[in-house]
Amino acid sequence: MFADPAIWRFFGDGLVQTLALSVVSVVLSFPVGLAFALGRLSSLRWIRWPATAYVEAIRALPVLLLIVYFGIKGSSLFRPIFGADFELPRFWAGVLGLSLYTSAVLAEIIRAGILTLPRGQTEASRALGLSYPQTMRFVVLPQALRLMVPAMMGQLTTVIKDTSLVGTIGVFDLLRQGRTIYTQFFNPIEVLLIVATIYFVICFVLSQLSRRLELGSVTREAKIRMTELELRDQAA
Amino acid sequence: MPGAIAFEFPDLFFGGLWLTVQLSGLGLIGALVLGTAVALMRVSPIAPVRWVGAAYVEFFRNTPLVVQLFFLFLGLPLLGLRFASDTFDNIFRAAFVGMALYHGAYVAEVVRGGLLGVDRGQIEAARSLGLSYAQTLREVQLPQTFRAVIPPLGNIAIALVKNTSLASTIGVTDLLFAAEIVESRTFRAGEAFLTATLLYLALTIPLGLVVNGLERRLLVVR
Amino acid sequence: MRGMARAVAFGLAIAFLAGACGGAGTGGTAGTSSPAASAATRPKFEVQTFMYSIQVKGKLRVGTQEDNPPFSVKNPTNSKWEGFDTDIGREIAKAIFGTQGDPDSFIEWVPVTSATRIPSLTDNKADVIIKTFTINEDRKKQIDFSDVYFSTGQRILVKKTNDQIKEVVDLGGKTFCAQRGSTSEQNVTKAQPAAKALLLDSYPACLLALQQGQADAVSTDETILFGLVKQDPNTKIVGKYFSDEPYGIGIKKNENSDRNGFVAFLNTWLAAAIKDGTWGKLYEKHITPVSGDKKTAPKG
Repeated sequence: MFADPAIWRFFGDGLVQTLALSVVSVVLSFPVGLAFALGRLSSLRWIRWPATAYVEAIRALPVLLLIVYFGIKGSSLFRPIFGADFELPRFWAGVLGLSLYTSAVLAEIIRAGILTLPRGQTEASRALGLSYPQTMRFVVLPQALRLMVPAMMGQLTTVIKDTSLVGTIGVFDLLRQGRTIYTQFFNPIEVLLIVATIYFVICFVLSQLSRRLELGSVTREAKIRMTELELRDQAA
Repeated sequence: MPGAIAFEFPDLFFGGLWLTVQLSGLGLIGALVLGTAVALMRVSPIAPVRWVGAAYVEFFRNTPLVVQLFFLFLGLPLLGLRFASDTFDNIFRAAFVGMALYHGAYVAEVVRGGLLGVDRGQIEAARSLGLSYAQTLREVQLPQTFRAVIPPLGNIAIALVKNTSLASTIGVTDLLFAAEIVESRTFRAGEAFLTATLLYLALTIPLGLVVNGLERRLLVVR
Repeated sequence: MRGMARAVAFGLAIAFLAGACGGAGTGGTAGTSSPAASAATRPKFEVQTFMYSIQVKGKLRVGTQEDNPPFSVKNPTNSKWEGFDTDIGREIAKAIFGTQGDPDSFIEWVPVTSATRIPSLTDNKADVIIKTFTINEDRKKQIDFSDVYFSTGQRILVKKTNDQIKEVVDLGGKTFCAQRGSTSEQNVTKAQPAAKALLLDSYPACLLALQQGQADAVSTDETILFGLVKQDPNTKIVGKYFSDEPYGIGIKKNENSDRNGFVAFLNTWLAAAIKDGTWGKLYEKHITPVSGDKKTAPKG
């Protein structure tokens, strides 16, 4: 059966969906995460508290819960905007769930990056006459992001693993395609091993890459924060 | 009142919550035991033992938990292996094993980091005083490791509680499962999922605060 | 000379109109032909009926599902549509366009899903929906249905070797598998509260659980069970129906006379197809291999 190229094309279709889901979710999460990271650092309490509440609450939830919720309720949520017949495609329900969770984690990663930078940098730029937004854009963020590259790569790996959860809402990702095959041919062991291997190769390569990509001087405090985020927020 | 729907379906929601707690607790214990054993394997002087440990860690961290759960639930029976004859015991135990195996890999890395972080000078001093490999491990390395390792393990525990929700995909009637069933019966998705959300937060937020406190106290910058 | 030509033309026109009217009978009823009667001639319909406009268009748009065995499947090797529902569509096409030629040449197949069934009718993307469509009051508010063309209900799937489970009450203390979020699960627990439910996210997953002995039975609409039996011939369907699922052909409601006479036409056609054995032959071709029984009419 595995000599049939049609089967591999079937896996390939699933892999494409998996990668598409991952990339789209990460791309969408980034600006949202950045916004909430800055929100949490705001000196204005009416911005800081809601931002903190949002980030801490979403981080503390299982990502599968978010995905299933949007799978069930996604269409109704958008009907006020798109009309009473609107049906949210399942791909986008999956993206919504993944992005919501990832944006909260990215918010924490970016915030940790900003906080663990030596304070001197910010003070120096302000002394040189740069405004707060300018300081952020040209001095703090570039360094913070570079510092947090390993953590962000770790989160990308997590997102790729989490895309395996969208099968439960009917998106045909790599795992779901595999399940379709083994329910037809009754060979779950072989199929799951193949699927696991594909995920393994992708994630292993990414994790090796991230180990080599530690840019900038990493303080011990930064290392502790990154480990905390990597361990607490990695969802299966 | 938000979450009131929990009292209309107490068996589902509170039964589910209890299963989630059980799975979390047992899974954590399993992960700790398994992970510590693997960490010890990884620092062994015998190379093949090290490699097996490394392979375990890399495999279980780089494959999705849900794939592992499906394998335990639908794959193993084909090899004649089941965890229990009753289906519902079987899926619970399969979920427990999955939790332990997956998070055990993360525990192994954390414990290994802690072991390696012990000052070499102390180890050498202990060995020169005549303590064996095993005694040095027990008297010098492990106690210090313990302190360094508690906060990261706490973080793993939080992730584990959240990850128990994946057991619903193999039929375990946990908290997430309860929300899905109640929604399919009543179509009140918002209420059902809000209730599940509140109950999950009741577990993970306090844990998070405890771990934050532990981090502040135990991870002193040297 | 001119006057005579005009008279002849006028006379021909009258003769033509008389012929058309005579053929259609009173407004609202179907064309004179039944599939058996007119072998080669096209059925004639009144100009204001929907069937006439379909003839003019030259195509009947049939909405159905690509992967719903044994009712409608698009064969991946030759892209041909096969199944009970698709053959029903072909019979309707024959009833409109005549029996000469390949009915597929008069059909445009429109793939639909459960979510897009009703919108594809109300948005005028399909003329009929033939897709294991259960008739219920809520749906009747939005669209029209033909008479029942297939009747089914919930039943139970067990291993061929299982002689203990014959009816839903036998599920007491046993484990049955159903899809999470479906009404199937509730129907069982209503009928037998002592049954234990293993809820997974798809029926093929339930089939695997059944095969491995992790579930004693799978329960859902018989039509879904048919697909499972096809996958694993070591299973069998048992038990009386313990829920009622009547399927109808979905049609857009007649607004501004855009569907004149269509519902009546379909019902008349259906009654004729049952009477002359066409329905029974389709059942034997598609359903009997998986259900093991023979039927000559939807009800009974």
